[in-house]
Parts: sequence; structure tokens; C-alpha cells
Amino acid sequence: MVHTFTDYIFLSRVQFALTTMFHIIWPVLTIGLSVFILLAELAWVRTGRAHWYQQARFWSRFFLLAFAMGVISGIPLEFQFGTNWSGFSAATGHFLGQILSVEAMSGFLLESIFLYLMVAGWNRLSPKLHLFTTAMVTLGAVLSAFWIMVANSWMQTPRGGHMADGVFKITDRVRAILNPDLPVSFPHMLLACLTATAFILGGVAAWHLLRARHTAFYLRVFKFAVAAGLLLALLQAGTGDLSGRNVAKYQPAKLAATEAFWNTNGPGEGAAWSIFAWPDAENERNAVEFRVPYVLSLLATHNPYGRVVGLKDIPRDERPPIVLIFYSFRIMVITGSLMILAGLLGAWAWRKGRLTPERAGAQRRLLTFFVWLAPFSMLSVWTGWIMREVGRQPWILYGMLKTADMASPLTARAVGLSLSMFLVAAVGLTWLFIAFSRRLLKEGPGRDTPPDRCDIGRRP
Amino acid sequence: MSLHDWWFLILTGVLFLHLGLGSIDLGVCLLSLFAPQDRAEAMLGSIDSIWHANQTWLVVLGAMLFGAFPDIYGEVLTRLYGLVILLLVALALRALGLEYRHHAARPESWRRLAGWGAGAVVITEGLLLGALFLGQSEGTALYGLSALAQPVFFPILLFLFSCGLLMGGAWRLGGQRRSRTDDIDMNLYASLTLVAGLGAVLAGGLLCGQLAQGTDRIPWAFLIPTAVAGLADLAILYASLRPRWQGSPLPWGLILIGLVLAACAALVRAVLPPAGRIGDGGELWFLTVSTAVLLPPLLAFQIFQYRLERPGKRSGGPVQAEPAGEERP
Repeated sequence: MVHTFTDYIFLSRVQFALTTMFHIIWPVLTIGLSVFILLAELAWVRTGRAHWYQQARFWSRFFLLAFAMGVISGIPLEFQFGTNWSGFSAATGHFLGQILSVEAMSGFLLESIFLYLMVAGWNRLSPKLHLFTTAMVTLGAVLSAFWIMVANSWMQTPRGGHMADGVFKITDRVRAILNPDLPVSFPHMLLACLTATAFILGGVAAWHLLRARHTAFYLRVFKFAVAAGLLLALLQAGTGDLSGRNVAKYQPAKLAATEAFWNTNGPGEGAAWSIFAWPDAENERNAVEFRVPYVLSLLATHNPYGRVVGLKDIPRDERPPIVLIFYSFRIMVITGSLMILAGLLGAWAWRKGRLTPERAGAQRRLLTFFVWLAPFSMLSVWTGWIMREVGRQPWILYGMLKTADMASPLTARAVGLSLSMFLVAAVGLTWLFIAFSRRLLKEGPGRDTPPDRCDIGRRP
Repeated sequence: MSLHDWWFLILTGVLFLHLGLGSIDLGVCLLSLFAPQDRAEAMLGSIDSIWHANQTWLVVLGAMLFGAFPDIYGEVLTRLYGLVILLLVALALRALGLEYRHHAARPESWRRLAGWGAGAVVITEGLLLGALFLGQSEGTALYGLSALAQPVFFPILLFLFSCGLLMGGAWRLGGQRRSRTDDIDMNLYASLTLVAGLGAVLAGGLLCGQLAQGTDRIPWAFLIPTAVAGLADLAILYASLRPRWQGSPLPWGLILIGLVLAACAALVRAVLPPAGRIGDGGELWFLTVSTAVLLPPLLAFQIFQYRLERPGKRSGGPVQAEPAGEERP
């Protein structure tokens, strides 16, 4: 333990991991909220119904709080490539740095320029011009996610070049951008943002419905969360399946570690899936396990006899940590399944006419289920990323560069101090966000009415 | 000129956008510390719509440096680790103050946080730029930060503080003229802006002197016309501060900062040897093309954003007397 905390590389890894885990909360929320606000505003512009205006305006306040947190936590993340991973920056900057540069311009800057026009322009801009600014913020958020996923998926399945003199030489940039992981991981992440936000909105709405506060307003949010959450969670299961097959094909070590799968199955044999296991990495076996035959082959290859590479066929120094990603994956899958179940139960209650202002408050079990599921929806995003990033280890650039070789030459004291500062900041910022969100929720949505005049653009 | 030279120019341009435009909101935050609370709110409200984008130029600058010169990016950020972390903390404090004051029960302390955070940003940015271009002495106390407490960094700090006060003052004067209200002492702000402009020119001269030390490769052919243009701009800035002047002094402050930066950049380019593993430039075409495609519309969007602050584009009342952020109940 003492050695661990004097190891500057380990501390740099922990710092990057914690900063990422803290940061990811806010893009997830801002991407999801921007889409919800855009849809609500579109409904208002098309139908003229004031309740959609109230929805868009109320949630845009949360958007601003979350965006500020995203900026505060996102800037350190970008700079950490240079401060803590200078070897990696120098080796891959001509691709990774350029992609992050495009992301900063096409995503972050676009969002930043239009953000305040969206938040403060409700009475100044015409409805259509305001809708345009909201669409630009949404576009910026989605583009930002796209380019970040380009960078990350390239780290998972690097293509379009080769290593020469310690530097990744790009020969085909299009191939590098459209690497094999991107077509699956970008939709998977985008859906994760939308699904998690839908269930967080659903949880907030359910909490208010249980207390009969602003019932008409929150019932609309709840119904949206049920419909969108169910659809998105089902789609997410589909992209998750594609993602699993991709991992089996391009990152067999990650799959084997995720499933604590030790022995490659022979021809005519199906690989069994461990629902539960306690991996013993030292002795290359599972101390305890509960297995279902053929299922891993089916999941990984869509064939009950499909070949799955076991950990024993992967050199010891190229195996990722097993326990962490084994359980991370299961938490993600269980949460996803609970989301589908919640969506189905909500849809059933809706169909049976129970989601009306008079009867909704009586659906206490359903509403409580949604309240509890809200934090777990963010947990599923975290566990998904833990599986993705820890599963890539020991590589920082899969199969080409090892994480341990790419760290900046810093002292453990310096990194330890900055890590402590980040930890304190993360706790403090989370507390602030929760405190301010509670204040906004207490104020409630009732005070927003559509403008009857505007200064710029055609009047409403 | 090679593609790398072009990229040196582009990075200088983005640094100019960050320092020039960012000085508006840093300056307003600093000035708000000395204003009564009601005016401080109006001052901070006037930058609500612009500060996010201004700060984002710093992110763009970092990412472009990462993409164009990754060796330098990694080396510089690692060498200046403590300062970079402090800058991030300062940026976070200012952002918190600016953003969360809208919903705070007692916004006074959040406004002060924005002001003090801006002061910390100016100091850490100044020390970072100083350590980067003037060199950093060896020192171990306070994680090497003690080595930065030297008079050699005075000109860069003076320059950044002057930029903040110049642009912040010019922004307030421009807003005042547009709204035709009388909520600030025009003469005081005009004097402050002029003194800050003189400070920027003086600090720029000192900086150029520091950068040129020990070299005979001084690009006089560029520096002399730049200095003449700077003095002419200072004269126009002075004229623009007079009550009869129609329009804002802001563009003249921006040009002044641009000229000082251009002179410094010319000296840096002439004096410093190329660092890092420089390729044939072929590795930069993607970044060049994407920047050429993305930057013009983004600049156009930002001009559109600033134009919305012009007279007649806001409903009644003083342009800067109401916060641009989401109103509190």
C-alpha cells in the first residue's frame, strides 16, 4: 500500500480516472438535457402550448448548472494529457491532439457561444431564433461526444498508421477516425447519455409525484421518461450486444477478463458464461463460479459453439485487472435490465390509465422504483467506462503503447497533492450542484410564461 | 514559410483571442471587486453572455498546441505542473462564482469569488507565460512555485493586469454609452482605461526587452512599424475615451493588445530555436483544413453574439443593468 502511494504513475492513473468519472456526469446530463429541452421547445414552437415552454425553460436552468460543472471538470481533463501523460501526448499528439482540437472548436466552442443565448434569450429572441440557438447547443454537445469517442475508440482499436521512433505515424487519417470501435461505441455512448438522463428526469419527476407537488408538470416529464427510457434502454441493449461482439473480435483480453474466462473453448465446444465468479488470477482459475453453458459463445459470436479466447492464452503481462471489470460489467447489465423493466412497468401503468393527475400519486411502488433507479443510471455509465478503460490495460494505445511507459516524469508528492486537490474539489462541487439543484426544484416550474414580445427576430 | 510557421502564427492568433477577449471578462470581474454590490451584479451580468466562449479559447489553444506541437505541449505542461494545476483551480473558482451566483441565496460572496478567482487567473496565467518564454529558475520549495517569485515576471504580470483593466474599463464605457445611463463615473473609468492602456504599452516594451536579451537577431523591420502602430492606436484609444466619441473604445484596446502580442511573438520566433520533433508539415494538414473550415463560422457566430449586445437589440432599460443570466425569482 505504501508503495502504491509513492508510485507517481499509479497516482497519475488514479487522478485521470477520478477526474474522468467526475467529469462524465456532466456531459451525460448536458447531452441528455439539451436533447430534452430541444424537443420540448420544438413542441412549443409547433403547437404553441405553454406547458412545453415551461418544460424547456425549467430544465434549461439545470442545464446551466451542469454545463458549468462540465467546464470546470473538463478543462483539467484535457490538460492532464500534457501534465501527467506527456509521453503519450508526444507519441500520439498528431492524431489525438488534432482530434481534441477539432472537438474543442466544433463542439465545446459552439456550445459556449450559444449557451447564454439559449439560457438568457427566452425574452429577447424570437421563438424560432431561440430554437436555433438551442439546436446549436445540442449540436455542439453531440459533436463534442462524437469527437471524444473518435479519440477514445482509436485508443481501443488504433488504425490508420504505425509506430515509428516512438511516435504514431498517421498514414490514413480516415481509417484512424473510422476505426472499428467507433461505429459501435459512439451510438452506445450517445444512447447512454440519453438513457441515463431520461431515468434521472424520471426519478426527479417520480419524487415530486409521490409528494403531489406540481403534479401536472412532473407527470408530463414522467411519461416522457417512461416512453423515452424504455425505447432507449432497448436500443442500448442492442448496441451493447454489438459492442460485446466488437470486443470479442478486437480486444479478446478484455472480453476474457470481463467474463473471468480462463480456457479457450475447443471446436464443437461452447464457452460457458459465469453469472457469478470470484477470479483467482494467481492460480488462473475461478475460486467460485456459477456458469451457464454456451451462453458466452452465443453472446460473443452469436453462435453457441463460437470460439472465445481464454485468459491462459494471453501473456500474463498483457492481462487487464479481472475482478474490477468482471463486476463493473455485471452492474452495468443489471442496471440496464432494471431500466427496461421499469420502462415496461411504466408503459403498462400508462396503458391501464393509471398515469393521470388523479391516479399517478397512488402508483407508489412504480414511482419509488424510478426514484431509486435514477442514481443507478449514472452508476451504469461509470461501470461501463470502468470496463472499457480498465479492460484496455495494460495498454494506453491498444497493442502499441503501454500505459506505464507514457507517464510524465513527475514526483509522487506533486501528483499526490494535485490528486488531493481534485478529490476535495470533486466532493465540494458535487455538494454545490446538489444544493443548488435542490433550491431550483424547491422554487418549482410555475413562474415561466411564454413571452408576448421579443427584441430580435419575428414576434411570437 | 513552412506549415509549422503558419501554425505558430495561428497559435499566436488564438492566444490573442483568449487574452484579448478574455481580458474583458477578467477585467470586469476584477473591477467588480471595487464596486458596490448592486453595480457589481450589473457588471458581472454584462459578461454573462460572453465569458464562456472567451474562456473556451484557452481550451482551443491547449488542444491546438497538443495537435500541432505535441512534444512541446507535453514538455511544457509537465515542467509547469504546479502552475497549470493552480491555473485550473483559479479558472474553476471564477467559473463557480460567475455561474452559481444566479441561484445563490446570498450572491455577494459568489460575486467576490468571481473577482478573486479572476485575479488568481491573471496571476497564474502571467507566471505560466513568463516561465514558458522567459525561463524558470530552479527551486524546490512549494513544488517549485517559490522560484516564480522573481522581479523578472513583473512585466508579464503588469501586462496581463493592464489588459484586464483596459478591456474591462473599455467594456463598461462602451456599455454605458450604449445604454445612455449614468450608473458609473465615466471620468474615473476613462482615466482607468487610459492608464491601463499606457501600462500595457509599457509592460509590452519591457517584455520585448526581456525577450530580446542576449541576441542579435532582433526583427527591427517588424518591431518598428508595430511600435509606431501601437503608439498611434494609443492616441486613438485616448480620443475614444472622450465623451464626444461615438462608439466603444473596445476595438482600440483589442488592437493594442494584438500589437504587443505580435511584437512579442516576432521576438520569440526570431530568438527561440525550433523545439521538439518537427516533421515535414504533412502531419498538420488535417488540423489545418479542419481549422480553416471550423474557425471562420465560429468567429462569425461570436461576432453575432457580440452584435446582440448593440443598442436596439435589447429591450428598454440599460443594456448592462440586468444580468444576462437566467433571472432569479
